[in-house]
Amino acid sequence: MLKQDRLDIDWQAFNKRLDLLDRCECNAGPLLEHVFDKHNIDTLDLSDSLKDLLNKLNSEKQIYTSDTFVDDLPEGFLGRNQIDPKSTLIKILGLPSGTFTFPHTDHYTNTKKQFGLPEDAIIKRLWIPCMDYKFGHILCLDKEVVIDYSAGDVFEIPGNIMHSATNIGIENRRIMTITGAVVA
Amino acid sequence: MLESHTKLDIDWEWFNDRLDRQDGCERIPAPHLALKQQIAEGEKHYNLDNCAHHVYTSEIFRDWLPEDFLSSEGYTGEVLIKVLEHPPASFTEPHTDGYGSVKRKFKLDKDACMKRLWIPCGDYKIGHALFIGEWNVIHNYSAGDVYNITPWQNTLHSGVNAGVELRRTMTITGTVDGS
Repeated sequence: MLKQDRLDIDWQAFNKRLDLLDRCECNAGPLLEHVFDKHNIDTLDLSDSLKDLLNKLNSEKQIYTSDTFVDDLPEGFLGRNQIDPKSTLIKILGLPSGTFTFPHTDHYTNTKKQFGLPEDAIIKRLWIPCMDYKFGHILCLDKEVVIDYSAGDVFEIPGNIMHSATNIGIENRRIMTITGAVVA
Repeated sequence: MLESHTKLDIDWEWFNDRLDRQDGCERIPAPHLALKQQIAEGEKHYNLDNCAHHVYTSEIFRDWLPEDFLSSEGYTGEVLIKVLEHPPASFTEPHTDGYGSVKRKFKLDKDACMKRLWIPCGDYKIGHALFIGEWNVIHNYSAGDVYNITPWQNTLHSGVNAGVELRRTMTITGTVDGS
């Protein structure tokens, strides 16, 4: 996974906006049985106790959504990343300390469903930290571990590669994902 | 980035198989005292749900190591060898090391000169990592890589199994010559 761009916005103001739930809403992370977007979880033979724990951890996460996230991006950002603005879904994932995303691959089901895209649509997902790297905040991507990033660094996560993110630190963590159809 | 300085060259398949069968060792839930909670609101985030793990102990672990390994690492007396076992979705919460349990067990002075090695018992798997301070993340290792984490005893560190496979790590803690 390569850092491929920068999303240069005022990240302090953006995080403040999330703190205040200003023009956005926040929901708890979904239960495993509602995680349609992630392949692997439903195919693994997880014990009931592990499912319970993962659900408990998911419930501690925050998912921020807003109708204005796409419009608030700097002009030209989606275009230069070959993403169609008309079919773009932006989410902010809040990971409190002691939580993580279970390793998974991406199927972009939510994005395809929301925008009526065909199953074989070519989708791209950008992964953007909303804050600079801190102790315990990593992205695991197969054998690679991503640290030493800054808020606004833009990474592309290939959907077919298993990945997970952790917060085994002492400060809250926020990650933006931008998912959309690739412009032909 | 913290690098391993040597290799503990044993048959790790054999070693893990003995642990699986609890052959010559005992597998017990990690003591609740392991939750050190040295961070603000620690108990809110790190608790016996997400930090539950097991520890293997044995009086004969020393015999499972190559004869000269401990002396080559400078250990001069008793050592405590433990194997920690973290299932998927479990953590060791951020903490620092005081080696209190080792000092108590061997009745050592508070200011005894100590050394701790950290050794993964399996090759790196996705989601397995040890964080030490702001910039050290130990990952992508092989079974038997030996890391001396003593210099970071006072630096906040934490371990994670955010993967899908069991994670086992060995720690060796004991006295070394202070000179």
